[in-house]
Amino acid sequence: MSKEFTREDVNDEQSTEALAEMDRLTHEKWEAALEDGSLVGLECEECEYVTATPNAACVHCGDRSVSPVRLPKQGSVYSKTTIEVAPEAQGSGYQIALVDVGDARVLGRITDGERVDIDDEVELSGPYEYDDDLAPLFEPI
Amino acid sequence: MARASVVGTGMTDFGVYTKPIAELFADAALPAIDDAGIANDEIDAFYFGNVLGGATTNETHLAPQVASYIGLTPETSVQRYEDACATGSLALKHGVRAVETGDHDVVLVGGAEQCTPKGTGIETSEMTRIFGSGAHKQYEQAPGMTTASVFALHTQRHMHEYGTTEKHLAEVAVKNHYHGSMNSRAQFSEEKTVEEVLDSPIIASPFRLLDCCPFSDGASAVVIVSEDAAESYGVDPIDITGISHQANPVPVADQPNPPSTDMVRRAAQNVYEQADIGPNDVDVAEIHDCFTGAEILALEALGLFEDGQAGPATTEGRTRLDGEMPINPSGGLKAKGHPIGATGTAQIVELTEQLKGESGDRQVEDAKQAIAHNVGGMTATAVVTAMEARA
Ligand SMILES: CC(C)(COP(=O)(O)OP(=O)(O)OC[C@H]1O[C@@H](n2cnc3c(N)ncnc32)[C@H](O)[C@@H]1OP(=O)(O)O)[C@@H](O)C(=O)NCCC(=O)NCCS
Ligand SMILES: [Zn+2]
Repeated sequence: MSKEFTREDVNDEQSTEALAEMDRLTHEKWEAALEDGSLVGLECEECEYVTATPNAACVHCGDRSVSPVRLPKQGSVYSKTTIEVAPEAQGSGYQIALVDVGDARVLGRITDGERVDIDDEVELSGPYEYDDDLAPLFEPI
Repeated sequence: MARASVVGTGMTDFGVYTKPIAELFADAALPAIDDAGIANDEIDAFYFGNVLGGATTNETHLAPQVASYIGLTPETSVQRYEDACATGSLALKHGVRAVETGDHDVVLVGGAEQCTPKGTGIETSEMTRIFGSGAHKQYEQAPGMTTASVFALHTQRHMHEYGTTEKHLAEVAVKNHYHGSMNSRAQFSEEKTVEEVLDSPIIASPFRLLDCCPFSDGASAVVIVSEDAAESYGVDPIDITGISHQANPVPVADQPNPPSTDMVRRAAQNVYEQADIGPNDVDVAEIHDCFTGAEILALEALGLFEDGQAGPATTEGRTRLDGEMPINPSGGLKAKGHPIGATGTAQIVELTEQLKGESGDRQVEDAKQAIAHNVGGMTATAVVTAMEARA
């Protein structure tokens, strides 16, 4: 039986069991985890692909047996770009980066004013908010 | 074996237009219908591409409106398609299937789009937000990804892995502006130098203003029929020998080896099989160079150059009109312009003219086999099309 996934579960580093038993990883739960400083992804039981964002099935093989996994807070930059022309509310002169966190890759925002390069080590430093959505914010270590 | 044949083409100049979209599309569609030498009541179906009407001009159900304006009869089967920047090619894919299966005999395929700040009254940063609607709202838009920046992420990694340089990228822009200077329909007619490109302001690093395609308004259209029926139209038909539409995971973080644009590799392989050709047989290609780096990625994904070789090949002039593999003789999205829903069929217009030998100053000599490459969204879809001149 799967149990309701709570914020305490994500915070509790011991509760791997709770994570594994959680209902489908929704965006709401993913955001709640992020708000509490944690990145949660999904691992496929069939092909072992690990993704960093919620899906109803494995994005690699389509199997529905995907279980939530906690992703490391530290990762390395796979690619990055500095954006000057953007939607007004995003500002300008900021970086986004594809960050390898353990076996998964996630698109994150880099802390304002910081610059990262490919292969740099970065750490999750909180959620970044845009248009009522939260995204992972990383800063260089 | 052709899957369908092009018997008529038309397109507007690309640039800035404020007129109603149906009027804009008519300026491409009516010439295409006339080119095919057919009457409106011979058209069985209309496949129309438009992406942003809902967001820019508050218009969504455009196919019947546009069909009415150009005088298609109410019996015509009409539909609108959306596949981000690959919209026109998606409409074409369905048109090809319809004539191939015999569902329809004569199909009008085309697209129209208005996305210039001048034409729509929507300023650059707001238009950038609207263009971003092709990205995943939570996992791509939220961190701040834009159309330029997704291709920038791919290109930065390509530079890291293969040593592709900003100068290689600038050479793509210089070459496409050179080709565009010979195309009266192109939005930009002036040639640019490598220095000018490298001096232009950053949009999303490594891309500068002159690495980017512009915002454009415009329309394009083609008339397609079955291979067998084509001869009866009294024009030189150009055959569509393959078309393949493939997808990549969204968000971009889940795409395998991002700079590979894996969906393009699958589409290319599929199209080469359908057309029974290989990359070495291709004489000319229209490539989705929305950003200079996108042309580099495409040349490699299509197998026209080895992985890592497209940058140096561009600098050596191998992709220029007089090179061994002429790429984007029209000027590409970079110089010709990119009214997104119209781009797919505009590539087909250019290649049809090239294969007929009607391209004037920018004619690729002895062009017999051509391919078009059209990418949609945040490298999430691609359509590759193969075309052939009849012997
Ligand atoms: C690059 C970009 C941000 C520039 O914004 P813009 O609103 O067109 O810029 P501006 O109107 O301020 O243009 C400044 C000048 O540069 C010129 N210019 C604009 N874009 C250009 C381009 N891509 N190439 C060459 N010149 C360009 C303009 O003509 C203008 O010249 P002018 O001052 O002499 O009239 C915008 O064109 C863009 O986002 N392009 C990419 C569109 C896209 O993402 N398409 C989908 C891709 S899949
Ligand atoms: Zn799987």
